[in-house]
Amino acid sequence: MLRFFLALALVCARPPAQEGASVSGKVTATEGAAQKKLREKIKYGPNLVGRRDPDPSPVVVWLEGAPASKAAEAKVEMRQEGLEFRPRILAIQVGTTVRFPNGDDLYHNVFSYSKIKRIELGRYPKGDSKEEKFEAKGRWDLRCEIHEHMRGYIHVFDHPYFAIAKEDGAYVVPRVPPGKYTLVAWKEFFDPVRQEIEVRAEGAKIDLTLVRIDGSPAERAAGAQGAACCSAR
Amino acid sequence: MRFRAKIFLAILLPATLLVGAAVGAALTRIRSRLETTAMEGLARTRAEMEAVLSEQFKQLEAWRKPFATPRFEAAITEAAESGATTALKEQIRDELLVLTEPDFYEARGKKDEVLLRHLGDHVCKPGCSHPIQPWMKDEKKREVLTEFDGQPFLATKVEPDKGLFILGRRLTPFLDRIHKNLGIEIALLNGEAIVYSSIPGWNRTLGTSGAVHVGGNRYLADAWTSMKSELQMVLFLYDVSEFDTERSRALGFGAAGIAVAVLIAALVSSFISRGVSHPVERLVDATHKIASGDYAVKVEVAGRDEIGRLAEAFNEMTIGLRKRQEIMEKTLSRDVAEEFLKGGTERGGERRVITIVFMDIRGYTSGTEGMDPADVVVMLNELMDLLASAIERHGGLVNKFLGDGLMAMFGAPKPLENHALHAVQAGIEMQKQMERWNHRRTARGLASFYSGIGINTGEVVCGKVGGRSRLEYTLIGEEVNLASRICGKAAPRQVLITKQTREKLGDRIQVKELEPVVVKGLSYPIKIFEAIS
Repeated sequence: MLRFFLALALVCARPPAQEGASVSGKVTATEGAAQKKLREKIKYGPNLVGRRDPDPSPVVVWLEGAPASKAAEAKVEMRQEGLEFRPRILAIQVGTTVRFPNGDDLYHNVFSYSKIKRIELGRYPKGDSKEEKFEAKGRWDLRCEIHEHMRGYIHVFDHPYFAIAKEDGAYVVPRVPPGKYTLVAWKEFFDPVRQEIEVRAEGAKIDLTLVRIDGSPAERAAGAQGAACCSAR
Repeated sequence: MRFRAKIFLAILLPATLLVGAAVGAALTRIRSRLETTAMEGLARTRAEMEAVLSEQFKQLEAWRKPFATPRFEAAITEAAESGATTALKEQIRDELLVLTEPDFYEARGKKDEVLLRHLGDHVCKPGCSHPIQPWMKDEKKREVLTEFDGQPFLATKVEPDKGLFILGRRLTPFLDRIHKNLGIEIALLNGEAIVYSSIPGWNRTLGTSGAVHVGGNRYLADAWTSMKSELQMVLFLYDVSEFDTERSRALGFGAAGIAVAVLIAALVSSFISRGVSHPVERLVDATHKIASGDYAVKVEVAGRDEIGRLAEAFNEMTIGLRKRQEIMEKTLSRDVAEEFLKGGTERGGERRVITIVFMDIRGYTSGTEGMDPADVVVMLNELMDLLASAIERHGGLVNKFLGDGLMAMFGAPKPLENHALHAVQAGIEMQKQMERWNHRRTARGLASFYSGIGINTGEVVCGKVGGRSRLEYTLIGEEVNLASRICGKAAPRQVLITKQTREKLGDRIQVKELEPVVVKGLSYPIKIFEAIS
């Protein structure tokens, strides 16, 4: 009965699938000491009292082992505004160009030391914009050398089977051809979690728990156990 | 306890107390000075240590700053994430173009593995293992006093999103400087390991608090821990051997002082006792001599002190005793006196065979008629002196002077061998002495006196007889009376002896038997003899 309603809800929420089924579920991420500490680091404000939380960094979910496919060239924006990368997380396909317009009244900079390809856009003032075309899959961690709290992440895939979860962790990867994959969930400051899945015609519903990275080895061990308890329905 | 020992102690004890008090005061002063100096020294070292640490932590922070940038953090995070250290190395190289190279730095990955490491000339080779230290993971601690590869370091850290970067400043030169400038030994301990020590030969088992002995020297130890210390303790050791030397010197002086006190006490007590003990001992000796009857003793003591006066009084006493003895000897005769001394004054007698001699001057009353009584006394004294001397020469004793006669005894109170022979010889000599005396008187134109002597031998009771207040040594018995009666029968210049006496003479004396005589008190006549020579 529940499944029926859920399926109905999905049908109502999205246009009907052209082919394949959707992989959906919920990713739970409980922050440990390590995450809290890092989140404290990326708060920004004039003083300790006035510091504000950064924009949310939602969970990114994708399938590994899906056949590569080329998408049409596209352009997306990651603004530098309110002393943040906005949005802080992008998930794009190979070949996409990302623009980084500066909307603040001060200089910003964008760089990444990614092993795949370094990005070095230099410093530029309000109104200026630099762009970067991503031609390989992988993840780029972006920072501004002027504002140390700023964090941005761009995930680049060579296929369309990825999704950015909602704030409550719910995700839907649509139009997944049936087959065997590895489902991966990633969130800022967490270690990614992976799970082997098999997608059938009716789709799959999979909940995942992200590993907490805490200071102590004991907490880490506890986190690793938490990861193993991921369930497939 | 002897007088000398008392004086010795009387000098030694206060002197020892005085020296002891002085040494005690000196030791207390040394100890309090030691405590003050050592405490000051240790406090100064602590303060200096804190100042040095604070200064070096500042320097370390100045080193850390360039590494706590978004670019550097991004490079470490990337290296931790992917293991690619290219960007990190570039960053370090760029920073070191303008910075002095830190003594120590290391980057660690997600699993705390060492990505790169630099310690002086030593760079960690791949696969090298260095344990992660607790403070590196403790978000409350950023800068600490710790050790790397067994050497003391001040360290700080940069914590990027992933991985870790540690910077260190070698502390050894600064510890060396504090040690050299303040002259205090320093040791840093991490568990059982000595991370730094300025004293060769020191180890944990020698102690970490209070007095610690290293290589024959004594140190005062002060353990100190900084809030920022990852090491177990910093130990400061203050060398107090200088005070130990002072203390042993003070003790040496004390010992010498006591030795001098002993010497002085010995000398003074010996000197004083020579002035006191020796005279007293001489007095004691003299007293013993007097007790044994030697009244001739005289104590020679110089000085007008109490001992001198005592000796003088003693000598006076001796003189007094001597006078009394002379009087006693004259009135009592020595043997009788000795008898009294020996036996005490208990009355009683004993039966003994002795020889009794009676002498009586013939014609005394008519001879002395018309003479001055004083001349009579002089004459009698002269005669009695002669006769008594003759008796004593032969071992007899005058028992009584009886006006113009005397009674003598041979064999009492002291026993005498051949008392009869001695008595008869004495009688003959008495007559000879009187003959000579008469010659001398005749030459001076004075009247002559002659005597008769009677001698008897027999058993008598001899002993101390008399009242309670006065005693006499007396002979009692028939034989005494017989001697007296025989004397009455003797003609002038004649020595008559009884048969008992004759029997004891043997052939030594020539005798002539006379006609038996009847004496008063006896109903029969008795045999008598005249001793001729």
